[in-house]
Amino acid sequence: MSAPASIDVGHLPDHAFGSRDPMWWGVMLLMAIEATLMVLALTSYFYVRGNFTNWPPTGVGPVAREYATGVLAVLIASGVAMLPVSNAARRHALGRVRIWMIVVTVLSLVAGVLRVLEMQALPFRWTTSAYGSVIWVTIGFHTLHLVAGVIENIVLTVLAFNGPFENKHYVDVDLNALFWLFVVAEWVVTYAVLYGEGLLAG
Amino acid sequence: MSAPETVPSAPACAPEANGHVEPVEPDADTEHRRQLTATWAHPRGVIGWFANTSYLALGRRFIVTAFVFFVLGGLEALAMRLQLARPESQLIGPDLYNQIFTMHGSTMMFLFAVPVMEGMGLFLVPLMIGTRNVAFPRLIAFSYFTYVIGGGLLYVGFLFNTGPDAGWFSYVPLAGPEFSPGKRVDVWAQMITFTEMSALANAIALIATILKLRAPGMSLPRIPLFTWATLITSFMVVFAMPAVMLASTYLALDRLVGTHFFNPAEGGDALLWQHMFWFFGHPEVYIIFIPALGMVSAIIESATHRPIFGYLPMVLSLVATAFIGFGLWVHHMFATGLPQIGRSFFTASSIMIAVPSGVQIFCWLATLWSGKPRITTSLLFVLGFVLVFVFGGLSGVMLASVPIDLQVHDTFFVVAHFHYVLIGGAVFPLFGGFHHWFPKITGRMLDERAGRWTFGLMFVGFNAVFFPMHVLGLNGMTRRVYTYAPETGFGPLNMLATAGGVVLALGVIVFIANVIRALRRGPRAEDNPWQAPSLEWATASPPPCYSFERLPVVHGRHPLWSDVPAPAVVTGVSTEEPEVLVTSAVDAEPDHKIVLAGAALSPLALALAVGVTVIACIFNPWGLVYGTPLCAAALIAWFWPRGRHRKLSELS
Repeated sequence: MSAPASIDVGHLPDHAFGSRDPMWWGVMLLMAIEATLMVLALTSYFYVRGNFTNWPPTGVGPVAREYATGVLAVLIASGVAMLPVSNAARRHALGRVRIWMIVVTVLSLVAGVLRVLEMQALPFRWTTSAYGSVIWVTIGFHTLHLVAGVIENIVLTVLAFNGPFENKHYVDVDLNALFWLFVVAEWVVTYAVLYGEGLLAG
Repeated sequence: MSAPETVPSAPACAPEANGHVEPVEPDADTEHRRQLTATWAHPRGVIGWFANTSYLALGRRFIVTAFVFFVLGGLEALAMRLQLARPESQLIGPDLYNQIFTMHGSTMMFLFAVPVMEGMGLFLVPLMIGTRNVAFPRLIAFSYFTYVIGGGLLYVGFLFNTGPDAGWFSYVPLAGPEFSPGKRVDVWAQMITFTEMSALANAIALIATILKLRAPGMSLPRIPLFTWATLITSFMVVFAMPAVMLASTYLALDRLVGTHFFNPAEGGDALLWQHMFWFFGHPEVYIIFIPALGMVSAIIESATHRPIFGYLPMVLSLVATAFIGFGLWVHHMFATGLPQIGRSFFTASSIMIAVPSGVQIFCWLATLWSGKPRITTSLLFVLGFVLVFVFGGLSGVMLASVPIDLQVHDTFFVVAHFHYVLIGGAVFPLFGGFHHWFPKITGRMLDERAGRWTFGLMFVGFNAVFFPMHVLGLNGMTRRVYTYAPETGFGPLNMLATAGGVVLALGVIVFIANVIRALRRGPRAEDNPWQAPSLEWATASPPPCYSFERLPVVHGRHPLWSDVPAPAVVTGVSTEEPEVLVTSAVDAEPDHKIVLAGAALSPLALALAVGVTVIACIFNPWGLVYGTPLCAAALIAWFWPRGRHRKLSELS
């Protein structure tokens, strides 16, 4: 027989990063689902807009906008801080993963607190009108993603300090960074639509 | 033509599963199998049942559970037919009738059609691509429990006279807080949450499995058409299901906490519901239909013993159907007063989707034409599918035209059309698929004579129920009304339809009897009773818990129809841990190996936590707030490492 009888894969590694890894596909698909949900929520924002003569019927108010801008700034900062986490994970540099994960986790908790203040400052409730409903529910969806991301950040930070930290957990850290960047990007778009009415719309 | 096997067949885990006595084998092979069995064996006992994460078990469970719902939905259909058999019948009152047609539609779409297709995909895909489990075993277990909780919720509601009654589409304002007080529609909305979560979880698991766990050499142009169909369907699920989840969330919020999404008095919009529902609802039809097309291809290929004619146009047609399927939801809304340009666009796209379906029909006909098909029960169902589906497609092209649609909207003509498409397009191929893969799933052969009776009764019964409905609809009989006056003259054709319904039900009863008989004393199935070409037939029937004794290497599109050049198998994958080989997404080159999750109770815990949260929300909106920590705890338990310390990094 000219070719070998079998393909030996004994030497292949036990983990891989990026699109080589099945879990990366899982996270990408989860993000596709959540992004579709958010796009449809924003679509309904524009859909109900056609039913109002004055849009927005009641403004979001300066206080809520300030907090929302604060969320935006802190999230972007946390996204930037997530880049070295991803980098360190791919190099298996546990020390740097630990340091930057703490930075990201603290920032993500700050974003969560600002989110609570933002929602409290909104000058209308979801029962006020369809406008109020769509604003509250859209922010609510992002808050769910935010909470999921914060919990994941905390769990991985604890894991990075307490172990057991195996090769595959570097992959988890890298994927968590991917999901967190999605949470950040999602708010950039959502913020622009919900709070940028003076900028985007007439 | 004989069918040499790529892979040495392996005995099942259970010793009685394969009857023939093997010659004494070298110790190495026995030891290899013993080790594989120890690693991949299903957990035992009641707790083990809940902890099982094997696709072999979960695929079967999805199929069986969905079939139970099929029978329940069928009984509801029979109840409606009995009520409509005579004019002014008093058998079922209007309130119960509303619940029954809503339950029938919701059951068939959400609890039968989608889950059964996913169950077939879960069971068959890992075998077809030559691996040992899906990429995310715990996710499919979670999916199953979520599905059962959702289906259970719907039926418990129905038993307590709280079955939804606003149609399977729950149009507002009828389904809104003003016109549907009580909890009936809330039960529907939360059942949607459960079933969509389940479908999305399965879709993620299937896509990652198909793209990353294929046998070396099985590049994308070599995967079986059923696997293509499952892949494409799963992508459709990912982009279609969020629409109905969002819509049902809006509906639940309107009903429970007083939001105004669909309330025109406060700036909401009833048509927003219809757009979101049908943006999911139309792709849903193709989510059900595309896997069936994959089954048809597999059945025709093994019945004619010829490679399918036009593999590439087939795949492209499936992809085209999926894309166009997202562009015609508005044809369900022609009667709502749309702008002219919208009507024209959606008429054009609705007619356009007939093109890829036509391409596939001609490819199948060419395959049948060029081979000498063996007329098995499966092939009979496929031939029945071609006839019925073409007919349903023709009435579909008629309905795509706005003037005709306006005329017959909400009449039995539409009921006739979509049952021709859904039963003809999905249920017939599915029954063909049941007969085709039954030996692989159970290890027993179904009786062919009983199978032909099943087909005959179902085919005749089906046409007797639904053909008269075309005429009734054109004569003006409206849907969703519990009775009609004698002077309409609808009586005789309705009586014929009811008689047809009984015949159709007899067909299903013969099938169930055939299955029970086969399970008890049917002949044992060989590895490959149909001489089919794809890898699921390369292992024992039923497959052992480790699926394949040696992981196969693939050299062509029909691995079991040609001699196997070397290398034939993969070595170097651990037998001591549930390890699988990961290959590259397009070319299926070996890339790395991962250890999959084994048996676990965390999927059940998460499904229960989600279940408590979502059901509590029906009664109190704070359920979400109280339930979230529960879900978070279950998720953390899921992801928390088991601490095997297999490869400690530079931690120390």
